[in-house]
Amino acid sequence: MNTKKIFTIYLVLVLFFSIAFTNSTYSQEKIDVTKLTREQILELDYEELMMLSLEDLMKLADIAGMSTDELLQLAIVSASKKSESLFDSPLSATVLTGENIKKAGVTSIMEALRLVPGVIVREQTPGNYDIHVRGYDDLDPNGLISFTRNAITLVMINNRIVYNEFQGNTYWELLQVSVDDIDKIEVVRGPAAAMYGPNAVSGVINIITKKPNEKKGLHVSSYSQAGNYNTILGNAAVSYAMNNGFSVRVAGNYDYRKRHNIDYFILSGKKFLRNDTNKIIGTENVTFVNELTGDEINIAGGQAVDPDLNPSKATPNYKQRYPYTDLGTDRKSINTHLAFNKKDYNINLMGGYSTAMIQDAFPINNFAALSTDSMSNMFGHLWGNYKNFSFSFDHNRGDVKTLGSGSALQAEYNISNANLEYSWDVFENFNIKPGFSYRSAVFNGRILGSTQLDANYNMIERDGDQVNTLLSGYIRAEYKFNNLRLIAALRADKFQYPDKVAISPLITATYKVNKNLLTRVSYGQATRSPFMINLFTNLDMSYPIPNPAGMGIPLTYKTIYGAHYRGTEYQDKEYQLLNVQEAEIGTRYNINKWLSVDMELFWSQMKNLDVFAKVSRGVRIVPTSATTGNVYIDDTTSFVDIDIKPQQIGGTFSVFANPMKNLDIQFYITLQETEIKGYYDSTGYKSYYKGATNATIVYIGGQPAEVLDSKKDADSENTKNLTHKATPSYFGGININYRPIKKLNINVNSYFYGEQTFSIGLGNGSNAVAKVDANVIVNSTISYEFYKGMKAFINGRNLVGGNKRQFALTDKINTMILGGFNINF
Amino acid sequence: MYYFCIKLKILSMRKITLLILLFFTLKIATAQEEKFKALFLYNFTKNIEWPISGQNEFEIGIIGNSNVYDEMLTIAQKGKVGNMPLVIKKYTSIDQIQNSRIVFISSNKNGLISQAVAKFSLKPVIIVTENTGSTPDGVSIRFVMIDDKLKFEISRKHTQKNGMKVNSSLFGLGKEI
Repeated sequence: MNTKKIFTIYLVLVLFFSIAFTNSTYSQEKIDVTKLTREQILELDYEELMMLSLEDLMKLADIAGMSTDELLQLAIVSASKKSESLFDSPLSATVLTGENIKKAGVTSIMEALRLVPGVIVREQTPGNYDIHVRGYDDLDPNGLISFTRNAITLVMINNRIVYNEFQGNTYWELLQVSVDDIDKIEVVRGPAAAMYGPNAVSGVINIITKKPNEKKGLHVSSYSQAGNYNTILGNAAVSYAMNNGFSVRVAGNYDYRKRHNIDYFILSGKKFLRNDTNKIIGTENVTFVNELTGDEINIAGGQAVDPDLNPSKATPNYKQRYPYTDLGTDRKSINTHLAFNKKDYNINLMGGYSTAMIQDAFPINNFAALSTDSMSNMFGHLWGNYKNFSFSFDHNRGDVKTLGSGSALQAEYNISNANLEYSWDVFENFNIKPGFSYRSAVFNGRILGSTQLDANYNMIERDGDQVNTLLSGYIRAEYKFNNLRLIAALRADKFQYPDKVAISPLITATYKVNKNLLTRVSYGQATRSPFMINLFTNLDMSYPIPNPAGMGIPLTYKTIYGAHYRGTEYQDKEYQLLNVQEAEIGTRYNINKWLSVDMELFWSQMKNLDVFAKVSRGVRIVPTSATTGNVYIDDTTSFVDIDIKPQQIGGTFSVFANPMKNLDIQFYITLQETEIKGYYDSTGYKSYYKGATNATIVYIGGQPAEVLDSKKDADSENTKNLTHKATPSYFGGININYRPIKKLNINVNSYFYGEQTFSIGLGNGSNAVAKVDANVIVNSTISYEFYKGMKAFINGRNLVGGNKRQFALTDKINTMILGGFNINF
Repeated sequence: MYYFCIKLKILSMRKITLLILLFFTLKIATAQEEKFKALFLYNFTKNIEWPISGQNEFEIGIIGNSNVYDEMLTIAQKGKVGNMPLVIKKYTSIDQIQNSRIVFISSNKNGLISQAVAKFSLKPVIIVTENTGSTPDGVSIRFVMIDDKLKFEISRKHTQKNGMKVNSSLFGLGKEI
């Protein structure tokens, strides 16, 4: 079905909904306040509220909370580790409520972040998104392999860090919670490592789940929808709150989506050409292919890296790598939350499990731009507070297979965190909050510290657990003097690997000119954690390849190709911790009762960026007789600190308007420019090689090439400043909610971004340069409450802006029409 | 900024003007906290009995700049106290208040609390305050926010004085001080 048809059907249904229900109203029965949701309470009119007894009114006030629907007045904790209104927060921040997410028909937590200013969210395949706060993505335009996943934003669920040390990122598909579980998402933009520790470099995303005691007694909720492309999204939860302070909530989530178009970008750009009798007669050039046959030539030059597999195909194990070519997302999760709240005690125990198989961008697999990832995770989290003392302990274990089954890149892990904090009011208007934390990450993976003698992945011997620990101490001080509020925070993080201490400072000042105008200024620094791949990768692979042309190798000689991957712990070099410093100023202004603006201007600079690049090539010719011999070509790839200094300058501008009681409008745009200072070509491994004049060094009977320090050998005269193009220069959105009658909510939301150009290292010395066109995506959701607490909705995603690739070399995302229910009673 | 300028140009000045005019003619939205404070105040009138005063309207006086005033005006249009119309008046000083039976002092006028206490200590007037560190002596009811929830503290001594009678449930619902 084409987009036009789908759009027409959508409009007809919208019309039907509008006409059918415009004249209906609530029946005038007595209100049972204990059964109302916050949303329903906010919809009650004065007459209804004035009829209530004070006791009922207080119950409603408790359920509704006093945080207003005005977005700038929502309560936030993440921006200063203290509950305050968003208007007063000292850093750039946004609060997104679960209600607003559902109103916008959002299908996942990842997609919800499109409603947050300053966040770049691009859908790679159905249900899988690239998420960056303010950018700094794919920074080295000539890096051999780009790790496209975001490693510099700290993601937390109820302050539990879900960062994974394997590749140094968040596996969004493995979050054990989904849309229906969300109370709110707090997003802080800019470095916040002084408060939350490493990886809070470009920002913090803290997902706060619903409290089990939100309502007394039994409570059931579901936010589920289904639509075209076999999309099924199911979320359901049951909670029960007893009078003695105990409460429990159990939730389950299911997310299944098929791809809208099946195609794969072939990294080598070549495929075997066969004649009628199926005999290989040459090669043809390809870019995207609609079907995988195994004849697509991999980066290894058409050689089977697993010699036990049938070598008649260029990539014989493609079926293992891509078990379901039509799959976008298949994820399931459950979570349980037990809480005890009484007087000064607030104790929570949460546990969960998730499993996912997805296809998303990971251009390191030598074959295609998409990879199949399958992974699972379980966790337990105990947290709470007693008076001024708060604690948090959690343990996570799981496994990741990021390149499909049978690949080298897989690991099992155990990650534990402990955190203790005390809040001390030294005197009126002066509070300090000291704390310390400990983190241990234990990984056991095929690529980590392995020694391998054969190309067959199955023969890799593991080298035992690789462990990194982090011991941290921090203090945060806050002082208020009239309208001036100062916050200073300092954190020291001691890593086991590298043996270094990272210091992260943050200082902010806010000045409230009056109750409607606030200005603020802040400066902070943050460090990214080292991760397993860049510390402990140690992999040697070798396999025969055809004799390369142009090297004058006699026909009677055989060529053995050796690929060597090294993390910094397996090289004689010091690990440099990636660091960002940032300064920003901002203003929030409530122009009048229905119109507010929030502006922020930021400047930041990153240093010690490492990229995974080929650093040397060595060629040995070893004669075995007078006429025969072996040629060994050994390429070494490792993380190198390329000593560039990306700088970013930009601003985010948001407007919140409540022109009518039944109309909310939010518009936001971020404009930014990133310049890479002191750039030089990191794939030019020639320049890393002392005295080398071309790509190969030939020496007989010698050792593989020495890995050299890139910094030492970079030709500083050849450095230049580049404008970074992988982050769009503008991006933002608009979100409109209109309630013509109480029971009907019409939402239209849009997300837009400017053009981007990605440069993805393919692994064979060349890069794929992929342009992503500017796009305006429009979604719309109409929901109707057909019975108290029960809403039916129809949801159109990508109604405008569909059928486009939103990220380099990934899927075209089409229009989706879904229908669903949102139940709360 | 280049892109932003383009976006602004797309919207012609006429459209912007129309949009602004439309916005200003529309009804305003208000905050939850003030709305519920106003509803609580209205509800107090149902739970407190004032001695007969001969007045034919029930006046609530508001001191200070607070949205509670706007909210109370809406409530006054829709409801009565017994058979009496509800009248909401905004005052800038305590001296101006003559007929109010409830005086609400918003937090930006906390400095006037002691003056109000002195003036109304011998009169059947309920003084309601908000956001003070603790409830000052002489104040009948104080709104407090606890974990984003609106609660109130109530003084038995200062509500049951000068002939006023309070429904005992009020002491159970609020925190008695």
